[in-house]
Amino acid sequence: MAGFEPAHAFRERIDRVQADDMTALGELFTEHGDLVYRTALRLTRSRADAEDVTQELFVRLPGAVRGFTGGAANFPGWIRRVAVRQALMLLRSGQRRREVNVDGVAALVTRSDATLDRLSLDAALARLSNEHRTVFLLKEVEGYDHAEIAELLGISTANSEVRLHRARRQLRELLRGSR
Amino acid sequence: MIKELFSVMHPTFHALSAYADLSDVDGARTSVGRHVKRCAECSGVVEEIRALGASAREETDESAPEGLWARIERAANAPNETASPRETLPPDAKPWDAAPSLRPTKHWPVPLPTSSRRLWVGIAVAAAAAIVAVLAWPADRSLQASAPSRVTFSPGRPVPGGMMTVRYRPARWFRGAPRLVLVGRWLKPATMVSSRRMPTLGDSIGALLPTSDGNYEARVLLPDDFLGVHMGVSDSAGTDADADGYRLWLAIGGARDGKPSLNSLLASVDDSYHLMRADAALQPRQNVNASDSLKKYFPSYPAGWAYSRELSGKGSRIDRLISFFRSGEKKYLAFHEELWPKKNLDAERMHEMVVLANTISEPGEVNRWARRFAVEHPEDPRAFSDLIDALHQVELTEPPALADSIRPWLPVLERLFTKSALTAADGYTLYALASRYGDSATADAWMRRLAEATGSIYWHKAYGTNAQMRSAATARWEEIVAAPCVRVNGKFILNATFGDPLVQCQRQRVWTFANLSRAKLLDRDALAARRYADSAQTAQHASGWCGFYGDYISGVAASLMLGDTTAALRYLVTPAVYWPRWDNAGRDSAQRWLGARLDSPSFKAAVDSARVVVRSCDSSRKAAAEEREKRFRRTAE
Repeated sequence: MAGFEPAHAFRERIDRVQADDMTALGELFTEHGDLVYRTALRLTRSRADAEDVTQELFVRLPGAVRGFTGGAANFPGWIRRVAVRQALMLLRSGQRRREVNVDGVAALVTRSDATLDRLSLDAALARLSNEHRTVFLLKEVEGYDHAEIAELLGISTANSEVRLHRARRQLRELLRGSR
Repeated sequence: MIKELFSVMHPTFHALSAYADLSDVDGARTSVGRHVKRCAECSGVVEEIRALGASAREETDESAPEGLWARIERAANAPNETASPRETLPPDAKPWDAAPSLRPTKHWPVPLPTSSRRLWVGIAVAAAAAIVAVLAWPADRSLQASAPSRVTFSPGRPVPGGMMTVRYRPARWFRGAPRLVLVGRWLKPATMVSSRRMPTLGDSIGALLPTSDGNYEARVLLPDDFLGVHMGVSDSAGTDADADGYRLWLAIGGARDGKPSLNSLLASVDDSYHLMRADAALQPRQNVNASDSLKKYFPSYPAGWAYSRELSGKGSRIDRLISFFRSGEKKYLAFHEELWPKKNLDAERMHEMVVLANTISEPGEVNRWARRFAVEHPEDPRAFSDLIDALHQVELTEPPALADSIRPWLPVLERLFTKSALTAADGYTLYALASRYGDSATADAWMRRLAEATGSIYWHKAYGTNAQMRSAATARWEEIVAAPCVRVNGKFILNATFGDPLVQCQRQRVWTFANLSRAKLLDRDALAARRYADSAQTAQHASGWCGFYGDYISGVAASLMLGDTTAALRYLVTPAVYWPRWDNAGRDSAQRWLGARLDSPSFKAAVDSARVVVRSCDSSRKAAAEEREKRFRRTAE
């Protein structure tokens, strides 16, 4: 929908968001709320945290959107990147809301086959350190390259590569251990 | 010759992992690529690595939950109040003394602002702002003025041994009740253990009785060691609950003389995230000078420095950060000089020095204080997490003899783990370190210890190949399933958003029965295995769990061992509803074992019937979830 919006109409909407127009913010939430929520969910692996990230992002959007100079077509990419940063801030803060995925744990306990499935991967990801899990998800799921991950996390490119390799090795060991 | 030798040596896992990221064209040009092309084993590893990524990329179709926009709208419209700590002190209060001037005696280099740690300054200032706002709250004013909260209490800063009056404006499902229960859980001294979970059950701390205006009121006598209390409201039967949206209401205590209490604040910092979000008026829009206020309140503790982050003031954000780190380092040095030589230093200050050193991104100093903390206060749970963090920083620097640097600390960590009763999650951290740097005996010992404690992911490794361990675990699991799931007498649900403990207990029974079924199968006792598989299914239905439980396969296997294919098919009916969308491995196994029987009209008809039941169960569950969402969303009634 946003992709077909005339440029001036989109800029007008962004101006309204900047001016704390809740209707305009609501429209952006309708269009991009799911994208933000899913991005946060993939990184935090917690629905409660993903909700908090989404809330925080949209509450701060009127201020943050001043830094966005692109058009409607660039907006999803931009807001996704903001969601990634917001989720990373939450992960770093050590103030995440803890929740136990009972079904996931239960299913992992009882895996008896050799197939890599999403359920056990989720549980194995939960066993990784934040640093390793974050790099793995940024690279494999969000599609960032090591230079971008290094910039996002404030680490060196080499460190990003090492963390990715270690994450993969640990995941492989965990998944094999669960069989 | 050398080239041939290299071609038969397997590349390292890291090399294979790097190769997996390359395109086929780019990869084929590398020596690793040439090796992988010829080596089935390495090619398999690369496939596994790529499969990990592919599996993680499977798009979730989960949408933002209903009601989230209402939360956002409300948070965005929250009043932008300004806290003014010094102006709100009681009129008769003694002015706070300024922090003593502690001059550093040596120059400390200012690190460049590139550390990732500095990026979470923004989040931390929000927590600090919340603390300051609480600190600044006048003792004679309750939190009722600040937000449309259904619970208010007075005095605003309750004191140990004192009386606290709690007023409750009832949620619609509690209106007209003759009596309600104020459920509470007293805050414990701060531990900063990251795995601490929000409480699910609480005790009755007071009876909420109706008042003439349709509200409820309770008077609570506070214990002598009162720091603060999490509160929720329950009906008398303990079956329904109300809380502050997704959080509990929180009252933070003061000292006996009504002044702010460091211990209360630190205890609440454990839940600062909840505190920060619980009240929209405490959102981080306030223009408070957090670190300045905290430093003035607590001049002799590193806490004020460690937990506060300066972001207010003039200049660019980078200028302010540099300024903070420069002053933070000076302060660290001053505290270090004063505290390090002291013998019998208390755990609080040691932990605060670790946090302060972390804040200014000095891993060497973190290491120094964390090691001393571990040696001198092994009973304090924070010592474990502080040392783990310090060792992790060593890992990140990757010194030449990394394993030799970490290995000596494994026994120390083990002692800390044992002495301070840490959680299984901490145990996993230790197991991960032991597997990476310890000998195989140490790693195995940890694996077994964790498996005994949790019955978790190392199931097959621990029990599948070790009959003795399996036997010990079986005895424990039998004890677990012998105890029925009932509501604990005298305990109430403190926060239903974290799930009903009764249902959690029932679900624990499901997988405990399933564990027993698998264990019996391995013991070749097919009858017992099938009996426990049936019990798992019964327990699953009792807990309202739709669909199938992953261990149905042991029921199938046990039935096949008994030659009973009809029963084997019965176990497969509900899982088959989900094929091929889910559990394809289970389907493949079933097809190997039962072949064409899965295509029979009677089996297909049974699956169709089960599909109706599953859909009905799913819609009821969804309706219940939506109702809960409506009930707990943070809207003022």
